[in-house]
Amino acid sequence: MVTCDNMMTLSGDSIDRSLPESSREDFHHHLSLCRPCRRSYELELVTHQTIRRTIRMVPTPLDVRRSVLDAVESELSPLELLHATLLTLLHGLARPAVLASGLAVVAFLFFFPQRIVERHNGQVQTAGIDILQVVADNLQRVRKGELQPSAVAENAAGVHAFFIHHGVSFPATVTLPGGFDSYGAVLTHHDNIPMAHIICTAGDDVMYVFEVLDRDMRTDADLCLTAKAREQLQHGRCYADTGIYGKQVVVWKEQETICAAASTMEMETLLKKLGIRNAKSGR
Amino acid sequence: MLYLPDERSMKSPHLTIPKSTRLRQSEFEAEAVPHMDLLYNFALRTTGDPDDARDLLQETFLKAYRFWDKYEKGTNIRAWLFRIMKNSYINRYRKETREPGMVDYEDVENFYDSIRADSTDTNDLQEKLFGNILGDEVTQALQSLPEDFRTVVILADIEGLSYEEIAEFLNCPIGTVRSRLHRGRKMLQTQLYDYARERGLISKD
Repeated sequence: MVTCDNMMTLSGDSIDRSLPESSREDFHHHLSLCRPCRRSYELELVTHQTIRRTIRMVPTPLDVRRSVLDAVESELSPLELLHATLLTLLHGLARPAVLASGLAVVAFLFFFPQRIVERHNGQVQTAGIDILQVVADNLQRVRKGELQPSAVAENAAGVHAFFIHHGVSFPATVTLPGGFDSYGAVLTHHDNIPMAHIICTAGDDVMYVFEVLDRDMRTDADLCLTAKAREQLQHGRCYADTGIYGKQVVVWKEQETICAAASTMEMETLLKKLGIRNAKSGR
Repeated sequence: MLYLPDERSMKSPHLTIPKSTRLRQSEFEAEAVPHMDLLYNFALRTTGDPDDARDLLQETFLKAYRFWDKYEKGTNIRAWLFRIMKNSYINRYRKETREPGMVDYEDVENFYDSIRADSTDTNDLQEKLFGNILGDEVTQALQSLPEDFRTVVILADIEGLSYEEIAEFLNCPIGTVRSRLHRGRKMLQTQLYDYARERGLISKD
């Protein structure tokens, strides 16, 4: 039985198309007889229609969508870094043979490029940063514990994912050989150029790999290779150098990435590990 | 030239870092981000300001991401996101919101007595009363509604949600949704009727 008392509910249901079939006839019958209820219903219907006519759903503006997604994306990095740090610490505690600490050396990310420039500008007789020197020097830093990874994975794919997650892709990273106990990663920027530092450990041996995208090796950049090394890379060959601080450094190009590695291992072992044959030696 | 990572490690990386974060991100993108339009429109109509809507939307998504672990999979993601937005709005914006010409519901009760009795046809009403009302005026009228009523009107009349979903959003009985919607519309009628009279669309007599 439809009465004026329950018309409020039924009017709304009718407007919002949720009035049960069984009530419709009674509802309309009441409207035809009761002028106040009819007026109330009509006004509510008109208001509903006016709102729908004048205010429409709009798609989220692209710039708003972008800023929201960027904000969420930027939220990932610190979380990931914190997560990584904690996990790495736990990882290190559980497996002391791996890396002793997974502490993110955030300050290092800021100071690393400047420190390189200070060290090499005077010694190398060049305004640029010789990648071979950087690699030899950074291996020393790794061994002294001065250069520690921001994050540690158990394979090269994990390191690659770390860089991807920080907005940079070094495609050659995933082609690094397996068989190491751990793969640590540090990402730095110098002159807005992203640089990857990968620290691989196998027992007591350490391999340090530096990667920079070839396109970033522009003429005005601080990064450089020796003429001999560049020449070999241009011919699609690898270049091995044994004369830097007595350290052995090998440089090659892989998937548009300049890669350079130094290790505590013998050069022959390192080359074998990297799958490099017939590397041209220099110096 | 170089060894590729072995297949086993590629498929099951056991990463120290990114695995949970990447999973979390992909889940969030797949489940939460598709509802951005619904939330943006609610933010826009609730705050009445595009910049505030952007801030509210951003705050909502950041909180949703931070507390993604708290979201119970399989439950209504839209309701969960909406509640985050509503709480954010209450905590941050409501204090600052200017609520111009807030409608007193008691005044609305006598609204029908103030309308001339001769325009009873729906089409006629629409044409005479609200046919020329502009979006800005409706937006302004919407802004003047008390928050509880405005929320329901936005969700039902603009976003087209069902009573059931609105009840889930607001965590209240369906009867409450019906009542608030009915009252909210009546308050809007009062406001729009006033606009129509001020603009001379209908007689002031």
